[in-house]
Amino acid sequence: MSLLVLCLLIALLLVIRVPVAFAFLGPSLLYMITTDQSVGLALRLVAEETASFPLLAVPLFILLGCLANHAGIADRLFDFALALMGRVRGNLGYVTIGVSMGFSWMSGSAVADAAALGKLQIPAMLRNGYSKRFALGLTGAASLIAPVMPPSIPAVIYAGLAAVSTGALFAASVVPALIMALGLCIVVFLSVRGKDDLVRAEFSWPRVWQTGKRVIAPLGAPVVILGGILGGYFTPTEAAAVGAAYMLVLGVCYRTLRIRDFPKVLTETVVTTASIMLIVAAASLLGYVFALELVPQRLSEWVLDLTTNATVFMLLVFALSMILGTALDAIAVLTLTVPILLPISAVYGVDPIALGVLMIVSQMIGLLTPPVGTVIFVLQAIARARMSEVFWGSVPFLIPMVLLCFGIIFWPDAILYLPKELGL
Amino acid sequence: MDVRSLFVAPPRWLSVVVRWVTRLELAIGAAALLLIFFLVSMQALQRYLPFDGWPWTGELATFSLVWLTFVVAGVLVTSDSHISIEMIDVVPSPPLRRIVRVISCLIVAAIGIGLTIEAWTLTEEQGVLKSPALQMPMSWLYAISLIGFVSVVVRATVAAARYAIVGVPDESIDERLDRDVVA
Repeated sequence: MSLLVLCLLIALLLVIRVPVAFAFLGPSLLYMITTDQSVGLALRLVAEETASFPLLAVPLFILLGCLANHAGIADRLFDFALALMGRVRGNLGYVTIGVSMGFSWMSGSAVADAAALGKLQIPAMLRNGYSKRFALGLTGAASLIAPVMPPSIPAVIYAGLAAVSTGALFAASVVPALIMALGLCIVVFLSVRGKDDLVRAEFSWPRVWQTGKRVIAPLGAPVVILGGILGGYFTPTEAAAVGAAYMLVLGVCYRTLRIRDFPKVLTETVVTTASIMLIVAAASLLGYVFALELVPQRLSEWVLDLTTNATVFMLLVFALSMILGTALDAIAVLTLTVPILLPISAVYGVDPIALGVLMIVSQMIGLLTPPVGTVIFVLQAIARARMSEVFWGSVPFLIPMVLLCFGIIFWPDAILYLPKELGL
Repeated sequence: MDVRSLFVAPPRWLSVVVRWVTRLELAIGAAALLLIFFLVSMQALQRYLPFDGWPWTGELATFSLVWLTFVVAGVLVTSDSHISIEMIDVVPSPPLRRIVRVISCLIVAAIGIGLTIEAWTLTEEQGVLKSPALQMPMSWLYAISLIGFVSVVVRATVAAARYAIVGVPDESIDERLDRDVVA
């Protein structure tokens, strides 16, 4: 079975709606059979790759996000952000970004973020005179902060695949995530200029104090998680468990998490984890097949013939990640491309942490672009909107993210400063 | 009872069986998740407690991740929660959508058969090997995963038959939201 047939088969299966994990597994199994590999080798390879300690952080961070969602943390953040920004023109725009950023410290998934916060933010913006496109686009774009800001599920998976420090990747992702938020604020500022019809609220210190008190404990979660990792108290996997335990205690204390909620939280976590981890597992088998066929070496030679410049290579990675991100799920793109691109990046002397951050940010853009924009589907369902409304609404907000990618490409040292300073 | 009514209005006993099998698969997944949570928390605590820790916690936690990943693979087929490219769903022709979904499910079932054979082979062969810390027979790792693969075969075949006989249901926007949020 040739490599070309394998790739065409995968593409065909993906188009006819075979789940991504099975579209990777099927042709890989066929390859193993046609090349007389022993029966059982494929599953053994898949199980060995899945049984990885760093990847244990995936279900635990998903559990943390689900617990935060059910504990009503989003409502508390929303009330506080609104109390702070109520008087500013375009307040709900900034509130959306602020809440997404606050929630992103507890959730590493854009889809979970868009689902949890969209239900709150979109109706509020529509009620207060914002256009539907603006509300959809901003909510979608702001939800993309979650998979970049630690704890990030794609970062955990990248670190597992690339055998780099999850803590270093988390530290390197903080500045890009903050820049994303700042970029979105600038777009909001430019969008609401001169729009005096947008509803504003009076600022009051008592209200800020009342709502602020309610977010102190939830905002302790990122302190526990990141402080634990960066302070050397826990590994990222252990920090995920401690963070989930912290959120569980908060939910129980707030009485927003009841015994009857636990089956739902567990089911959501199990289903989400399995759908992600199956792709990671399947891609590991495909990676083995690619390695047998010397794909990384061949591709490396081809790219080196094309350019010897590391920046041009990073631009190619950015373009590839963006294009694949529009057609495939971000986890699938990561698991498929990291084993191939990582050895090539070593030839160019590109830092694997910088490569990881670039790949994650550029693939997140794909979550808001057709045909496979998972965040688009969620927002469509929440707001009963058309796909085109969500996509065109998000285009202005995607500009700062594209600029951020260029920033990472041309100044990778800027994002590596924090992990280096922290000795990671 | 004709085949169509088996899908449209299944007999009560069949619904009960399917519900309990689904609950069992999800319960194994949830147990694996709780085991991961407990064991990783233990590992974090061990460093700060005065007694010697158990060396097998990390090993059992990683095995639990394997079980969690594979055991609910079948449930994801039925609930359509696997991550897939849903371009075909916007094709306006219902017969084409129906044919594609049937083919897609049959392919998943075929891949499930391949995985079942792999898991069965490993369950039979790997019993002599023991994990380094826990001394657990490695066949257990694949035996529990086997449940998920058999479930994939059965559920994907049933889904193919359902799409062929009843057609692809037009998902309501609320159902879609519930599904996307869970996924």
